[in-house]
Amino acid sequence: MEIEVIRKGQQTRITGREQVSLLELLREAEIYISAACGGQGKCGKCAVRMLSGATEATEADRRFFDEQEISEGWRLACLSYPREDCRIQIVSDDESEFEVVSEHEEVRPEAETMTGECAIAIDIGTTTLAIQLVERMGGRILHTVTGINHQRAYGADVISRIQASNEGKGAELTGSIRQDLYQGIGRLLAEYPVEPEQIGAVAIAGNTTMGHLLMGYSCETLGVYPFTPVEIGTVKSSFTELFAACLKEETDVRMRSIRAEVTLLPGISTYVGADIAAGLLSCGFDRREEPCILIDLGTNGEMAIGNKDRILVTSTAAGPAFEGGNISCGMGSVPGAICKVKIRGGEPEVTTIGDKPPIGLCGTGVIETVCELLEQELIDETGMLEEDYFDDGYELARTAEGEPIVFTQKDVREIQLAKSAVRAGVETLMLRYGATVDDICHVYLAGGFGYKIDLAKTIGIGMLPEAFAGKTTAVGNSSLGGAVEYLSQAGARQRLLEIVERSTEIELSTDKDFNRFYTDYMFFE
Amino acid sequence: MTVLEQIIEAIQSGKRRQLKVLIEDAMEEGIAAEQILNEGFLPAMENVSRKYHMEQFYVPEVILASQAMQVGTTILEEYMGGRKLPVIGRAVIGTVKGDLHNIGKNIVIMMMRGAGFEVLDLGYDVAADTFIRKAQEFEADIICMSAMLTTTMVEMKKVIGKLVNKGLRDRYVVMVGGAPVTEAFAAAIGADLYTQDAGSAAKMAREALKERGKL
Repeated sequence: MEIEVIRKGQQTRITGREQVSLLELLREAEIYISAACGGQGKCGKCAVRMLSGATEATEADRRFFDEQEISEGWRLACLSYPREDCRIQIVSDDESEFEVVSEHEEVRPEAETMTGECAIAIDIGTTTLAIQLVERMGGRILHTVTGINHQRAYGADVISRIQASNEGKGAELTGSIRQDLYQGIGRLLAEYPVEPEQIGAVAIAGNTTMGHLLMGYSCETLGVYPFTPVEIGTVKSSFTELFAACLKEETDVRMRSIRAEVTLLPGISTYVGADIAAGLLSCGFDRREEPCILIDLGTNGEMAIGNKDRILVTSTAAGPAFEGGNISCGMGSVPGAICKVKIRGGEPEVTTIGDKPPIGLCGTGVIETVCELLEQELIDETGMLEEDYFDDGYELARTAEGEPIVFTQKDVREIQLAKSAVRAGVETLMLRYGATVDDICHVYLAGGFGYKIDLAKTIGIGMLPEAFAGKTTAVGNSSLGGAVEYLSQAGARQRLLEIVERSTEIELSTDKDFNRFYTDYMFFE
Repeated sequence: MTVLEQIIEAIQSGKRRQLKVLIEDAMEEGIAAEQILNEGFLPAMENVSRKYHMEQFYVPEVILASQAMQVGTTILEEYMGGRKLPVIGRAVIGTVKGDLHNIGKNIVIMMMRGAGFEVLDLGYDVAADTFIRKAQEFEADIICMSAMLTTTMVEMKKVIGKLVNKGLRDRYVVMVGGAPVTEAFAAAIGADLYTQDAGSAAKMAREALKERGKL
């Protein structure tokens, strides 16, 4: 059977075989699309549109697409097994964009056996951890484990961790994160057949505070102006040295056999750390002629604008609202979290992650809700919720136990603060860089904020300028992607250093233009 | 609705342009600037503060209202031919050392000016000694300190300690505020006043001066 693949207006013909998935066929033809979960129908990243000869929709398809999308031919390539000639469209504006999205997710054609040297890439987030085993040559992802940063017990944000450290809890925090990473690596080894001797290197990205706590540095100077880090450059260590305390009690000979070099990647400043530098690497800022923007939609709202010659970075107090934090029924992106909202005929229709009974709202659901409420004019331009919903909030759905899941006036206000912080940051960066919205060639949204975020809605709520429509991509964990690239690509080390060197930080809280933008963009207009 | 009531409404909803017209109307009606201030600006500010506490208003509205208030103050002064509005008290205000957050502090300034205070803005990253020196030079009644980080709010304690050491503590009302600051923290470091929002800050500052017989 013949499959016609259309991507960016270009057509390629590939030959299909029974019992072989579209994703595999595409890979064979070296047409790479993202498949974060490795083709298990779990991540939804390999979405393609079957223009003709669409395969029967699977249960997974119904989870990721609504009826209209299904009828339009949207399918997950990993679970679609064509049996007749078909035409498919891969919607990703730009080949290079795609590379970014999937840089750390890219799955190359299967090797028979894995014999080469491996490495471990780690992203230490304030809340979560991601650890990936990768092939040194080519950067193929072999296995991923994720976990919780148990430092959360000492506070949710970096400032509270800094404070805990300053109050004498530094050693505990260091012990906690090392233990978390050690156990994560242990799981990686237990779940994937790799010989410990094969692991030659570990690269770690994370914000500067996370880096300090990992290395056991003092955080005294991180929390007060001028926010001077103890060390912001590349830090070399070794597995045996960093995890000495964990190894002391280790009985597993495999863990004791790891002899990897550990590198803590360099950051730019105390508030724009290695995670952002790595993100810039994975988005290829150093190769861009035209200016691009990277926004990490987390609590610290780090962002950057720039190209191969010059990069400006900053951070803005976005708060945790885009991750579902500080929202009355907010939650992380877990099964049962509402991630899609549509109000039809006055009735809200919600979609949850995994199609489980609704239990709350994830960051994507929060953005969707605000956008819908605005569209239905249930929120006015000042952010005021319609009077009927003022006291109890707008009910989106009920849990299995019959508890209402609501969106309140206060939630709207949280989003106003968060979105205007992001927008004002973006506007100020462009102003200082001397670029207009039209000069920006691409915008990358990083962070674990959302599940299948509808980028149009980020514009709908005014978080991003309208002119960014069509040139914005969600890149997920670009920090981890950067760490993988660092480990697996020739020249990446040098590129990262150059990115750091070319980056200049600007301070927003004292910036007059930022303050003006911040109040201006508070409205929904 | 009387013109004063309309002024209250305009400030509350942050309508700056409309406010300008209304103040002109009020002046034409022969209402004195002091009356506009006392029966227009002050009730507006109290409304904003009350609505904030009832969670009907949140930071965005407070920011917008305070900006309208600032515009209103300027217009009033213009109409008085450069003559300053009657000053009920003097305050120095700044964000403490190590902290660069400006927005919250600026809202408080606008509200306090609207409430009839002459306010000297010391900016951000203000050292303890600067707070004290400027308060003396400015002959302030009130020292206001803002901090937005748990790591910097301890600076407030330092300022109060220095005031005590210099024997100046009783000369000033010390007000503290900012997101991480709490009533309990304010009490623990020996501050006189803590308020949650800018509107009540201005109101409480007035009351504090009344109590001290300065008003």
